[in-house]
Amino acid sequence: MNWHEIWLWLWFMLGMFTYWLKRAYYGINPPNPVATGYLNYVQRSWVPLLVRAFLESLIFWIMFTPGLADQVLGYFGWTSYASVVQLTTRNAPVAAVFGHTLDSITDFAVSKIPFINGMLPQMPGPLPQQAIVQAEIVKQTTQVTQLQTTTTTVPPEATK
Amino acid sequence: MISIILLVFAFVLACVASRWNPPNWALGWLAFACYILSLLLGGNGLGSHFH
Repeated sequence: MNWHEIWLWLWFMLGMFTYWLKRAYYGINPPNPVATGYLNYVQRSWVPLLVRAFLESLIFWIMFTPGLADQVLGYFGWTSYASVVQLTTRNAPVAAVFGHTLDSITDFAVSKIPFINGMLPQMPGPLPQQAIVQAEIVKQTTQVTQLQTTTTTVPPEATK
Repeated sequence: MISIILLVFAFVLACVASRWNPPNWALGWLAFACYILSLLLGGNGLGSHFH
C-alpha cells in the first residue's frame, strides 16, 4: 500500500467534496432551492453526484498510469501541460485543486454541453414554490320572503 | 485482494440500490464508499492489480 498515493486520493476527493458543498449551499438556499436541507440534497442529488465522482476518479486514476495522460494531452496538442500531470500526481494541494476544478468542469459539461447533457444524469429541478393565493370568502344566505301554498292529491296506496 | 472484493461488493450494492423506485440513496452512497475504499486500499486504485 502506497500511503503517499492514498494521501493524494484523499486530497483529490476533498477538492471534489468542497465543490459539492458549494453547489449544495446554493442548492438549498433561495431563490431556487432544489432541496430542503443538506441531507435532502444528498438524498435527491446522489445519482448525478456519484456518476460525476466515478468518472472523475477514472480520470485521476488515468493520470497515475505512466505515459497515458501525456499521450492524451499530446493528442490535443497540449504537450506543454505534461508537467501538470506530474504535479497532480505528486503534490496533495495540486491534487485537491484538480479535484475541485475537474468536478466544476464536469458539472458545467453535464448541464450545458449538448450530447453530454443527454447522456449523464442531471441535477434535480427546483422544489415547488409556495404560492400565496388570495380568495374572497363569501357567505351566501337565503332569506324567506313569503310562503306558497299548493294542494296535491295523495294516492291512497301511498298512505298505507 | 480486499480491494477487488470491495469493488464487487460495491457493484452488488449498486444493483440492490436500483431495485427501489426511486433508487435507494443510502445504499447508493454505501456503494460509492466501498468503491472509494477499494481504490484507496488497492494502492493507487486498482491499478496495482490490473496493470
